[in-house]
Amino acid sequence: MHEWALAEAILASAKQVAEQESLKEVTEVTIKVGELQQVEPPILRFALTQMKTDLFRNAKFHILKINSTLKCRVCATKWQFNLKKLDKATAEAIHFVPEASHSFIKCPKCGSPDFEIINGRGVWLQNIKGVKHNG
Amino acid sequence: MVDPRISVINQRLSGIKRIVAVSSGKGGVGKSVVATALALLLVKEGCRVGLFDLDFTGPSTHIILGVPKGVEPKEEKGLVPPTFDGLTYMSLVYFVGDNPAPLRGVDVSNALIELLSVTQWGELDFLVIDMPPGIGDPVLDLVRLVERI
Repeated sequence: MHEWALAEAILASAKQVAEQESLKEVTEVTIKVGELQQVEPPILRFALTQMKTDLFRNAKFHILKINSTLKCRVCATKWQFNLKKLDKATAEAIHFVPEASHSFIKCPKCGSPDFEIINGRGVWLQNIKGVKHNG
Repeated sequence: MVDPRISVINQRLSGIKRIVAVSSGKGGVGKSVVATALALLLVKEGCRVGLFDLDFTGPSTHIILGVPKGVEPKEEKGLVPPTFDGLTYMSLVYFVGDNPAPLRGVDVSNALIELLSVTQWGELDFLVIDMPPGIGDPVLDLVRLVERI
């Protein structure tokens, strides 16, 4: 997912949580970003600061990168996604839709494309901190 | 943890007046032909139309339309699908090409959510969706996530 679209989604999601929890201000947002997503944290951080509303005026954005673990469903081999082994077009396809990896990556031991992405897929809003409305 | 993608899906579709999902209980009955023909006829009527191929395990509308190689979405705060013959067109084939996409249910759901949340359709009169066959994970996800289906 593109960093700007992602920033918009993170802020919309964090706003929903803040409203549910009656927060008048959000002070911290922690985001987990999977390796397969190949998101550039500086671009994501810049997009977040550019798009943030008054609710996030003093918020700190923590971006945690999560390494990938892929596990073959046929032979149970585990391995890590290696961006360097991919050409630019393939890496970009996986950046936008990580499931495209099933068309290009195979188990290093048995060659099966039937693998599970145990870690390192997607972007998650892990938690937010903020100040509650009085009363 | 919260999946932030879900929160923007209906916003991405907010500039579309009407969403038409072409669906059926089984495969091979002509959904893709009907969806593509419907989309092209609506263009001919002067409407602004998008066609979204969500049949991930067997996409075919790009073949019916004759989408030329090298056509791809443009990055603009997400992905803006290309327009040709007056039709705005989005499909997983931009990302997997001619390669097979061996996806399990959870992967289909994830790819579907990713494309719904990243695609910037802009202003359209109609979005025609070529749905996957049956009433499995992707169809249930679409009904759950897209308020106007």
